[in-house]
Amino acid sequence: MVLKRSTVTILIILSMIIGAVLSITIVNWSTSIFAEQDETEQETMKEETKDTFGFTETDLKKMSTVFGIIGNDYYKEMDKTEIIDGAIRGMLASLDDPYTVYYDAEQSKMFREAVNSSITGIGAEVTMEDNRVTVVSPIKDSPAEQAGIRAKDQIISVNGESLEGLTLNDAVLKIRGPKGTQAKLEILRSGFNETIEIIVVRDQIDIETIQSEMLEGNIGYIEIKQFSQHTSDRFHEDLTQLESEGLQSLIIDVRNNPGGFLDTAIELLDPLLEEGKIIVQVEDRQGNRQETRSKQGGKPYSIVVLTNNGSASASEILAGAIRESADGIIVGENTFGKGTVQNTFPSGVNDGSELKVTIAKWLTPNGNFINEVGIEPDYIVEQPAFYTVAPLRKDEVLSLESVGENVKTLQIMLESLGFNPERSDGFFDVKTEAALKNFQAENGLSVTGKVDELTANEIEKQIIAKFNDPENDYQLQKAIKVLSGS
Amino acid sequence: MFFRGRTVIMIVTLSMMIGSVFTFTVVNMNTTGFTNVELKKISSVIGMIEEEHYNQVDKTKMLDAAIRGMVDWLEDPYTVYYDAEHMKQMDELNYRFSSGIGTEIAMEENRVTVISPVKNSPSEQAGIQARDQIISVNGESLEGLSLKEAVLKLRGPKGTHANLEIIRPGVTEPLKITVVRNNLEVETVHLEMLEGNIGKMKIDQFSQYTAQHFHEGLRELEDEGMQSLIIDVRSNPGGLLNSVVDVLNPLLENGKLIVQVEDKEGNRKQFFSDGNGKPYPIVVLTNHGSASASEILAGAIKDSADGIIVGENTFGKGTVQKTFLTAGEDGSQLKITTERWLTPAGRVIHEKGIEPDILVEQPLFFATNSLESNHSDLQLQKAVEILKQS
Repeated sequence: MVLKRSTVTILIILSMIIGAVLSITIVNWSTSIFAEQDETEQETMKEETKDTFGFTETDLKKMSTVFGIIGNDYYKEMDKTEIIDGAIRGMLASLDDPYTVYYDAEQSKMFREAVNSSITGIGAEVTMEDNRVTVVSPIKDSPAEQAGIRAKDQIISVNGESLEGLTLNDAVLKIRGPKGTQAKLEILRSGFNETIEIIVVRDQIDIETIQSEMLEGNIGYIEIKQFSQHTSDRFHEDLTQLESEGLQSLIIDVRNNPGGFLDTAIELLDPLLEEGKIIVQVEDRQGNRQETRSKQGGKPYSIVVLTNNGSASASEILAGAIRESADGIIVGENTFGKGTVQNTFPSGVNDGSELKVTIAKWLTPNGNFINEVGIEPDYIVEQPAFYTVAPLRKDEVLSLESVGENVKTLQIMLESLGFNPERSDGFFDVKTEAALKNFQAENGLSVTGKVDELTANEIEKQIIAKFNDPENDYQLQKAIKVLSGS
Repeated sequence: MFFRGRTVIMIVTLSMMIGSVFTFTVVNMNTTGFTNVELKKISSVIGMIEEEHYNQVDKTKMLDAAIRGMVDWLEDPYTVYYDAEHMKQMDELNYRFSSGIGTEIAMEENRVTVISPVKNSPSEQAGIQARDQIISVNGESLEGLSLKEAVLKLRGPKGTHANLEIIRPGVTEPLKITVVRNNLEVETVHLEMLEGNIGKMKIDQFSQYTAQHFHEGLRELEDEGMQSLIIDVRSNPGGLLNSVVDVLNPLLENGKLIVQVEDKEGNRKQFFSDGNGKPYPIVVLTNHGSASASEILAGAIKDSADGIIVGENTFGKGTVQKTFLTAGEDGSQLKITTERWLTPAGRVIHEKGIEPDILVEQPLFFATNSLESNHSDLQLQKAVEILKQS
């Protein structure tokens, strides 16, 4: 997938929690979850565990002997903590619920940062370019921006430690640090002969989850990237702004939004629905349903929600509520299908590990359970082919007779750039070569008929430009059409 | 799938053996298990799941999964947890084929029913037929008994009589049939005297009586004037450590190393021969299916008895397992790799196998042919050739 620039913004964090992305929790008590539970509460939990819940003594003894045998008799020395973690992961696996997950201490920290969408650091979005850590852009109002870090700056070292040879993740870990500490960056900036030194004081960085603009015809557009702590406030700030600018109708874009906090989704939806309308229903194991209803007024304008296969959990709550309780219209692709609610608990001992448990199902206002099914849009619109192709791999030079996925990618890209190779099956024939030569000729490249790195970079550049052109966003165009017609 | 007769017994025994290739010691040990902190963590997780999870939770399944989670983490294919259900099934199979009169039986309509008599078994010879229902044994009714209890009544020492009362479909009166019980264990050793007084001993697996039968057979061949010996452990998955040590002991000279086992601390336990060795040359036939105890045999014959290995590279299982009962009191067991073993010369063969001295691949069609057909067995022919020259 070619990433939109704005999406790349959170890449540094997302890439670290990629395993958890699809299952980002909808959490019930968003404020209390991540706060350290105090000692007494934990004690109570333990007592309950002993008396009412958990296994019988024989069950535990059985598990314990196996653990003991592994510790004493296995022919290799093993890390006991990891065996315990193995037992816990084993138990959770038996639930056949992909969203009930155990996080060891390290994972739980990363996860927490991801859902809170806040980390401590310098506030720059970075990527790897030519094997150097390169700033894509400093986040607005971040320490990095205030210290004068600019896009395209290459970070060579941090506090004297070279970043050379590190992966992006490892480099990011070096750049990050506790609030208030200094990061002395050695930076290579184009136009300068020598490296420059910039000191940035690290701070809490909030990742922007809302992006909005006014489209032609007074159609307001708000993209929600995930449902984090401040997302609802930010959404309504921007909505108020758009309304004051004369907004006539609204597009809410939750494509590739993996979800987030349940409370955030509810808060965000409340002002959009008429008072008394159901926002969402939550059903526990006993089948008890709890309805959450809107306490406010609703909006006088039409709303369209943009969805795709990456719209999950809280995004689906939003789509369901807007359609069923606010007469909204859904445009795009079928949603992901995550109809359950998770809560995160510390795992009983103070080692930082946490357990995320599916505690309930949620249902749309009309009572639909969308788990594993997703929500079908009112208008199904697929994006153009180049939206879904992988980036062009640059480790092989493609030429006549080359075969494979990479050639297929090339063919789709060439076609969408207006150089039709007349096939997209992954075989590099004379027509593919001809199309490629045309592309090279028109873009001032040497006409080799081969995809070398220069050519690949140019193709990719143009594809990204196409990607960022709203005209090519068929789903958005359909949403605009639906609203203009109404 | 439905198997019959002797094959079934073989399959059942083999599958149990393969499941427990190596040492089979069921011990109930009081080992130190969880510390308080570990126990607290585990039980709090269990508590949270039970209390909070939106679906009903199957506790037995979860307990077994916890144990599997620990075992899986070791990433050792030979360390395996057998849950209660598995052990129950194995137990049932075990009883089903171990009646002592040579029948496969099952419970049907609450009656002990013959599925099929084993070929050449006492019950076949006595005329027991498939679908026969066994009502009583020596006057004792089997009514209301479980399969296991019924089997215990049917079983008995070799030579004793089982007077069976049988209902046979189509026959109005119950039949009375007497079966003389016999020893029904599976023969794991097969001997043959080849041309040129070359003795051949084929070992299918190393089980309880294998060593005894091996040496009885060897004596027979020696009495017939055997000049050299081929031991065939091709496709032999292994078995008990004691069994292979007992097979090897008389073959090696006094004081020679048989095998060494090493635990995680690096402590080595060495098994030495107190036998007298043999005056004749020995060739071992191996293939990719020769595992574990078979590899101990090949390694020892090569390193400690100047033997020659002919055939293919062996499987490469250089670890020893022990089986423990868990404290669950539900029959569940943990088979765990406790040591690795080394050949007398100190070689670790795990995941590598033993390379033969003379590599001989079988012709492709051999696999589909019967193993008994010596004339297409290139590996055997090579072994014979070597021994004829010596």
